[in-house]
Amino acid sequence: MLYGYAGQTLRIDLSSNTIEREPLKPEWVDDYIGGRGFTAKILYDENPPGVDPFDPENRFIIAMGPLSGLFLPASGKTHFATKSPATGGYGDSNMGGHFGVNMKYAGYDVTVIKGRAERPSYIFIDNDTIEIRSAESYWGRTSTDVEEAMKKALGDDFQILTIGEAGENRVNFACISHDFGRQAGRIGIGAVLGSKNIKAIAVRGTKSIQVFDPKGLLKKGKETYAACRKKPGFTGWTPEGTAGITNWCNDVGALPTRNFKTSNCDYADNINGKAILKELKITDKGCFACPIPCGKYGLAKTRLGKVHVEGPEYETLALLGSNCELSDIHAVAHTNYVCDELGIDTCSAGAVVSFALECYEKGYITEQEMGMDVKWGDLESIVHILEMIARRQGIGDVLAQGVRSAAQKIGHDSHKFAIHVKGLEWTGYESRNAPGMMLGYMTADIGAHHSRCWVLGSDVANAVGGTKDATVHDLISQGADFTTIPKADHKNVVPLVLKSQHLRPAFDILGTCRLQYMEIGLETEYYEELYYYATGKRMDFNKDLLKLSEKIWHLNRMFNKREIPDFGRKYDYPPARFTEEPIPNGPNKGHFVNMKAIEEMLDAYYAARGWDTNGIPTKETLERHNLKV
Amino acid sequence: MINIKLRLSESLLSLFRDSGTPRNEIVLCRTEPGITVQEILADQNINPLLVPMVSVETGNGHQRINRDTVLREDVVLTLYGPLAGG
Repeated sequence: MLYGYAGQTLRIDLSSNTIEREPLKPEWVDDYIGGRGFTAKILYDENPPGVDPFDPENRFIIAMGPLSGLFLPASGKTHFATKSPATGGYGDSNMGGHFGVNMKYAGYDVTVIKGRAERPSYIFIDNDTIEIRSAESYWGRTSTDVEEAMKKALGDDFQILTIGEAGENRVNFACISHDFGRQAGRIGIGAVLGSKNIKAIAVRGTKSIQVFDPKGLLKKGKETYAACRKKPGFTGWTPEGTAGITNWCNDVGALPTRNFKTSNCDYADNINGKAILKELKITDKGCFACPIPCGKYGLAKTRLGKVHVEGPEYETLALLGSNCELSDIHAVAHTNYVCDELGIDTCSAGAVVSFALECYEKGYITEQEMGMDVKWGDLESIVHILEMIARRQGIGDVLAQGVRSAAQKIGHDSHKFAIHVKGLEWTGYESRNAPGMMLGYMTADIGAHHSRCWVLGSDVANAVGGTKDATVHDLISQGADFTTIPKADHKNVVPLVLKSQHLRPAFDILGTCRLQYMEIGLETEYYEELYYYATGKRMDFNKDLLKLSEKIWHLNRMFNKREIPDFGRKYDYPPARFTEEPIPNGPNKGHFVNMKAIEEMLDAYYAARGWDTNGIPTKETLERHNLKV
Repeated sequence: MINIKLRLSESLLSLFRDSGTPRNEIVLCRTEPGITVQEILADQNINPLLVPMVSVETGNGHQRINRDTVLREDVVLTLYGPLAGG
């Protein structure tokens, strides 16, 4: 008996229209626990080497963790993985909401989808009843329209996952949408589903999950909620959600502005958490069993109309706001709405639109190609570009491939301001004076994504001092006014980057949101105890879970090596803008990380990881982690 | 004299831990009334750039306050470190 798990893997072959159930493999459970562990293992083992991301044989995997759905704090995460059309390597993305919980209650910890449906279809899962149904009436419609229509047709108790037009048209940064505002946004996960002719998945799960000690789990679960409520950070997170960080990022010169040309703006007060509360918010919105609902559901009013939208979250504020020079919270929320409806990741969308605006400004894209005279900070221009991308119209067809591919086609020096790593667009933290954060972005397995590593706070702490070298009073007496930031030292950042890279994705293995640990400070003992009461097995958070998290880094690196012909060190380099252009103004004026520092950081990072100088895990490292790849 | 209780959130505590100077979750101060939040932070050797948000406990919850807020009576302040966005 696998306590804590539903116990089955669901396999769907869309080409042959076959559906199979098999027992969840005990070796997966023993060696990879769940969620991200399952997806990394299965994708490596089962995806045919060298397969094109849009080939029917590319697997689309959904996985939950042992704590998913057990009415523990924020245990509603669903993990997805596939070979990414954006990077050509390992890709995963996750979302909150209630979808994965229902998958688990329907009986499936893992779902592996391959093949391609002949016609637009959706997958219907109602416990043991699984069907591939026609979605022709849903094809071409927006995400929320489809979710609403499917709930009306099937019942409110079904959870719907859907793609928008961008997914149908295989935009390399198309996302999956769920719960009227939750997305698995990154790596083009929605494009792969679209390539399989799958518009949506509808699931209702009403079975039970056997746990090792129900009474113990219930008691510990209550204690865990109570512990969350007592923590100092508990009350601070909910009011503004992730948008609460906007002004801080601006103050420390980390807010991407004008396609990462600079790192602060003079209108952060217009697009921050307070602006959301004052101008947009109707209500808080949380995921399954979450004690700190960070979502903000609101109403945005612009000259383009009134729209309801969940968000914007910080990343959207940064990338579709300041990075596109959009300085009005209603306008940013409107672009958020457009992305959600079309099924586009707001992070990549902001990076691609700002890249397009800079290309247009420099004359690399003409007005005729663009279809209108587009401008920085202009809502109509941004919406126009987003719609061209989602529908692959005109230059939108080029931009739909992401900034790396678009720069190759547009030419000139556009590759220097195509802000990505490995083909995945950079998210909301400008890092020219944050070397640890930059290294985290550079070395992330899926490309430039912050959820793999976030050490910006430590970078700032190390740069500004006041923690150990000099007291704050010393700094004040030396003239510190806390509006300029000294150059950060790139040496010695590797240990913190490694720690963060193992810690942050560890929660994707368990199937819980990381915020309860990272931001509230829930002690590791709670996770160890909850895991024990759920599964009957003992797990040491540091020795077992973080070690597995490290193992997955090596496995995914080997996946990238196998799938990308010339993969190695050069894929870890940041964009030229960050190594050649000093920040022109703001708290970090004049700072950048030169290539000598980049090489030194990579050398130190590879050595600490047990990788060779080209960034490939050594035989000894693979053996140490019992990886036979 | 007034009593000020500081509660440090995990995102702030982790910064101090990672820099090799761990702090306690609760810090008690006794000081003259009229001090600002910014001055309290300096007295506790906490760089204000590491504290994006400060809230004060009220009768029915918490209220966010600015760092230039003047403190004139006993208060409980929560200091939040920077949080990663979503």
